[in-house]
Amino acid sequence: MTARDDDKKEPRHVDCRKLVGLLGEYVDEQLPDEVRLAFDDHISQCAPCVAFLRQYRFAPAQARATLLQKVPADLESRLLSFLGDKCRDKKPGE
Amino acid sequence: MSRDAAGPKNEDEALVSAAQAGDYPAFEELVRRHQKNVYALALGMLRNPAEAEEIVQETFLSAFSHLGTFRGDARFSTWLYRVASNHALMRLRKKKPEPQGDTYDLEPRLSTAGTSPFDALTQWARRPDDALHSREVEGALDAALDRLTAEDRSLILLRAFESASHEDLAHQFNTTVPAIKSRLHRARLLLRQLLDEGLRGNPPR
Ligand SMILES: [Zn+2]
Repeated sequence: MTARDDDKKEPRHVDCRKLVGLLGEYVDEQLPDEVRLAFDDHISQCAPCVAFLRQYRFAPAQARATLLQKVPADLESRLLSFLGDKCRDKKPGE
Repeated sequence: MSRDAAGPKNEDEALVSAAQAGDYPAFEELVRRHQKNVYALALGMLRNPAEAEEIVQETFLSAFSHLGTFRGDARFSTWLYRVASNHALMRLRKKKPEPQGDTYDLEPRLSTAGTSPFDALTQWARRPDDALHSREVEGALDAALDRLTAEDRSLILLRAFESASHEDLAHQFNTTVPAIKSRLHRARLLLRQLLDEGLRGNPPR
């Protein structure tokens, strides 16, 4: 951690607000190592940020799970019958 | 690319090769494997079951017609979701345009006075496995998705369903990678906040 030499803010002092701004890159694993270390350092000592991070990650995963529960049970048979009528005797296109 | 060479991707590849050679049951197996995800993605984007089912039909018809152009340099599922999201996005664009950008204000919550921006933050994401089966979470999530713009929903879901790359998303939304990252982040913040408010029983503003 040599960022102390930079004239910018010292990265270890990621505050909660700044951390929120970095969440996207954090969960998509795109933070530079040094920033990520500072992020982890902050997270390890800040329960509210841990909770916020969890929710930020959880919401899209929950959206996916909830939508998957809404798939009609007979979708597959309807779909296969629909596609069979249109495709079964054809060759897949180029 | 080779991380899961023995996994579902490989099985998809074998099925695609067979289907390309005219093995129709192999195509049907691909349909069986992916129809649920395609439907759920389309339902999330369009918020309408009948339209979601039409998108699923269009997607697999289109996949069948263009199977020969699939070269296996991407996952089959990635290719398929791209076809599906293109169909869904086309449909969304034909609809009445939504107001541009969300007017929903994130900042008040994030700038709450005090040492933390998360005063009174609830712990609803603590046990996601429990929450998955909660009708309350499901209801709050539906309401939250309905409040997002179609574009925000699409970004979140394309990422959640198939880990669409930022480059892919930038291409599909006709913008730059930094712009996509920023929009995706904002959309996720908004979804989190709407879900939080829904689960606390706060009426949405
Ligand atoms: Zn914090």
